[in-house]
Amino acid sequence: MSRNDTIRRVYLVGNPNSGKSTLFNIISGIKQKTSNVPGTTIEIRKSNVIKRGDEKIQIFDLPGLYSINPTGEDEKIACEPLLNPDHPDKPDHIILVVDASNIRRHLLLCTQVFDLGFPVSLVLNISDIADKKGIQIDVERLEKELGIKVITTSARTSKNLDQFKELVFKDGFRSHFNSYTPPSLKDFFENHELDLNKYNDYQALQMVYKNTELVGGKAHQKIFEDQRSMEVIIRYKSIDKLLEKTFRKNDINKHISKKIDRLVTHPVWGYLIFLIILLAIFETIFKLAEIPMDLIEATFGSVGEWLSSQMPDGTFKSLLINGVLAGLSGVFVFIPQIVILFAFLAILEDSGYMARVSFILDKIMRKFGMNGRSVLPLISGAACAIPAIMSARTIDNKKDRIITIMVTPFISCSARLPVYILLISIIPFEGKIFGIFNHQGFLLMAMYMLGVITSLVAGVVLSRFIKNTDYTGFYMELPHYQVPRLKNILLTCYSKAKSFVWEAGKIIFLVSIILWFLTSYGPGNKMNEIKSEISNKLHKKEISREEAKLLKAKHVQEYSYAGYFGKAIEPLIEPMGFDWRIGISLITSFIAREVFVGSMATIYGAGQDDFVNIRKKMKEDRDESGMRPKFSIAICLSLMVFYALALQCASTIAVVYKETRTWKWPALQFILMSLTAYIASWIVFNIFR
Amino acid sequence: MKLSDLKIGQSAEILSFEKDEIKLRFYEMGCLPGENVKLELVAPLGDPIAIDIRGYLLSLRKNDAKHILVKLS
Repeated sequence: MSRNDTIRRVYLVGNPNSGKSTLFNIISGIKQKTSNVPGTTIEIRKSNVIKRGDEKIQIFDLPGLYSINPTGEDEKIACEPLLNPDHPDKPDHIILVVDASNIRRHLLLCTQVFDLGFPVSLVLNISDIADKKGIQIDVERLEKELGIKVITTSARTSKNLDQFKELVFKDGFRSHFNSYTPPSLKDFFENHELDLNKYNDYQALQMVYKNTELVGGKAHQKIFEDQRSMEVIIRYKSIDKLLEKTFRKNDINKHISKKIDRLVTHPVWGYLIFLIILLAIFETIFKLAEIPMDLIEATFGSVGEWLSSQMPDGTFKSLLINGVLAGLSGVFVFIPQIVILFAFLAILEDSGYMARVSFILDKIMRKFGMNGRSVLPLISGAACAIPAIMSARTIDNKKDRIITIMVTPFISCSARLPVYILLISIIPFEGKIFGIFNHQGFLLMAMYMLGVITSLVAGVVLSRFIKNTDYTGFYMELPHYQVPRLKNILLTCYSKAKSFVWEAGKIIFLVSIILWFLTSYGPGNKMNEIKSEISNKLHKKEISREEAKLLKAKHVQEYSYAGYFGKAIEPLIEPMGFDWRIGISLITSFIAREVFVGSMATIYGAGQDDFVNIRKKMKEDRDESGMRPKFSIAICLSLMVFYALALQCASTIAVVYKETRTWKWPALQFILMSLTAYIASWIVFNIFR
Repeated sequence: MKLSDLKIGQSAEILSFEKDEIKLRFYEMGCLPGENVKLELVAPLGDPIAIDIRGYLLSLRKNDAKHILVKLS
């Protein structure tokens, strides 16, 4: 048989926790891409085309499904390649992956796929745990009963992986196993728009389910639902009969799982263990990531300096160094945190512990419109919202996931810290708060608390407004504990970093170029005039070279487009106590909050890194009366509250877009957070003025 | 009695579901009428709970468990 130019599409289909993604990684390695189905959060992973001799195959990894009855809109789309016989990427061979230690439940989906008429093969995976549980499966008998190829593997202990690698190139067979006889609908729907003649009976049934509106609409919903329930009962009966012939369980040693479960769900030890793990993760993202992050910034910095010494002054040089290099640095600097967080996440997920975290925290987080899996993203948000929002992928309920993504940026991230520190250090306040607290420590803590409380309140509010499109109940398998595979963890980190660079990175890069333009150029000739004036002064030795540089930076910022924007928004931000100088810094720090410090330094004519000098100049600045400090208690507090609550971060917007696949959520988030920040700052300013 | 009334370690047979919306989903997970389940874990705050069905652990909320009728076995 010649298949020269055709690429055969091999699909891996199975329940969640069947280990099929690990098998997928083993076959595809890093040569894979993740594509999101447009408008959904469904991820379908595809391998590159794999060649062997003349044969070409491409492997698809569908999201884990318990059955082909979709639980929500997104899952409906995930099932599409199975349910739509005219799908452009219709599977040529489906490899069904099941957990051998929990074969009964996993076979339900398999029998449905059999009946859809696809050529299939069956992989009994996780056989190491099945062995431990004393489970014996008669593979030959199973092959005979089902009429398809069956192999036993263990992705974790690498057992029989050669057989699996061989299997993907083989043809599947249509199973003759009869577990359910669908009602014949062809005659019944003969006169409808639906042409069912090209489908088999089970496909036809699924087409009717899918097109309810064509066959009588909502009136049939209840009948269909009952029909589906009946189908499941009948299928399980056939599966039980099949297992009587092929499956044996010797109740030998109890699996260690139970002992671990008692410990990690214990009212004291359970939370303590989780707390220790959280602290370890948090400490690592915060501290360990700093080393590579500094290295990345230093590398880009020295490349910039080298280029700066090699190239003639001009627009191109400025674009290259302050636009392109700064933009790239702004993208790559996130990678260490993303890699570290996802390494931990992959370990927690693969080991089976993550499901227990969800179990012990579900009740608490439900009160705030989220679920147990939201805790890790929220806590990671204190380091950086970018990896945190990406980690919300592990939340399978769409509504809970959206809410988690929406409220995570309220948690004070590490980029807000320099802003808080600067403002706390200039706030004109002496003495103790409530007579005991040092005001610096107290304010810093208050800002962090403000973030946490606001995010939880926002969760409660949002849960009232966001519709739940998925099945509203909550059930979840608590999978067996397993030792994670290193290769799997590394692949997860690699693919997360890659998808961040390609998807969110593009937007962050674009925003940096735009901001570079806005801060380097201005309308009219004003900027050039001032530049030459300063050059003249320098020439006449009226000012030093250093002074000229600071003065130039100050005026470029003031008379740039960003400067004019800053002035233009002054009436808007005045109620919060901000003037145009703060306005400019609000705009420039949109690329990253910590830029606020540098931007204020430039406006006040201090060196970028001269923290002592900028503090001094801001502290000495007076208000119109000339009597009181300009940065009064009210303004400092209002500004801190604004930074705590506003979505002042282009990268967060980019990553929320990447994760939700629509501009709707980032836009809504920006508006809601800005509004919250505005109102809160206004209130704070008016209380303390 | 209801599934939500079981104590840790107790086994029971599933009789029926009081709420149609959850029936199909739990059937799919192997919680069929006639099936024997055992309450394995209760979360520290009393909710959710986890039951053993034919050797695997399924966690569900009390809210759903109270619509599942069972008989001690």
